[in-house]
Amino acid sequence: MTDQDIDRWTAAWQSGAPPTADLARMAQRERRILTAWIALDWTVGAGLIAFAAWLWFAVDTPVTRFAAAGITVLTVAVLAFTVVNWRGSFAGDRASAADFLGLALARSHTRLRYIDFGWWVLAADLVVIAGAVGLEIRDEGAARLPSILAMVVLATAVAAGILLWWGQRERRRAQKLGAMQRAMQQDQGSGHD
Amino acid sequence: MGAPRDYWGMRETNRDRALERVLVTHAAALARLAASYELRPALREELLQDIAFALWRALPSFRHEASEKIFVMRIATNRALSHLAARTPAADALDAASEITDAMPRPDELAARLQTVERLQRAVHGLPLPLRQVLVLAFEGLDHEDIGRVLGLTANNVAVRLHRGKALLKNALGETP
Repeated sequence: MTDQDIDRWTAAWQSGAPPTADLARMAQRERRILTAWIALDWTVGAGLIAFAAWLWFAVDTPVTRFAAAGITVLTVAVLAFTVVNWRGSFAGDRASAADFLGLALARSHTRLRYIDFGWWVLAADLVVIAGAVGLEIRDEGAARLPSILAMVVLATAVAAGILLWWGQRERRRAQKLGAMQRAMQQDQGSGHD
Repeated sequence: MGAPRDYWGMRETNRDRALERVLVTHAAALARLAASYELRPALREELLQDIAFALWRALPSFRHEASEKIFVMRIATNRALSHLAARTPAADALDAASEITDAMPRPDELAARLQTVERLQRAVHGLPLPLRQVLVLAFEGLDHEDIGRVLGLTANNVAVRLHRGKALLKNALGETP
């Protein structure tokens, strides 16, 4: 086996560029998509904060004030995570593949911790909602209980579904990144077969 | 493109022009590299779009410490790794199936069915990732040192992987080692 093999394969390889669309246009399209996503994040965030403000001032009971404060804190936390996540998603692109994999794995583990934190927030939310429902029954009776419970079940199921889906996806990604990192590190430093 | 603060200050039009020039220069290499990581055209296009955007983001921070080709190949390789990590299990299963097919010793059948280039691309795609990466970069004209810079390996390690990759590729293509 000689380097003539490499030369021969290189010639064949370079003669076979698959047809591609306009890459500059593709970059622009990706920019538009990401801008739209970021705008959507901020629009939803602004909407939630506006809703919390309305709850605080218009309904004005201790329970709704507590709910409004909770919505605001969670929205700000999620928006902060979104900003950090967007900024980090292209971090390390200029690094070597080995360093990039290390960074990508660390980011994946951070996201997994964030997802775990999400489960704790959801559990805490249920405790708070249970307290609020208790207050509602004490003050207003149980007439609205079925509709409140239906909303709580629906919201909890949606939140749990998102956390489950995201957690599975992120664990799979972390596993793959780990496997790629191990494969890259295999026989690192060895200069011979 | 001098100080780091230029990253946000670089004019969009200059950045777009710079990107266009880089993409025109390296379009074929990027397309081949994307094809070595992703066989399916739709997903390959997605990967190329991701690479083009990552280049647009990274361009203002290019400081000429290494050649433009190394810079481009690093970003493309890293985006491709990210793409592999984000793929669905269904896409992985399809890939695994194609790798098994590629590994089967049917060179005559393959030769009849596929052109040399396509056969080479499929055989390269069927190689283990660390060997595939090294071979693809070698086929793009990078020497051992430069491949090491892209992947974060020593030149000696690149040579070892290249040697192994060549042997496996010969085998996959049905050539006598």
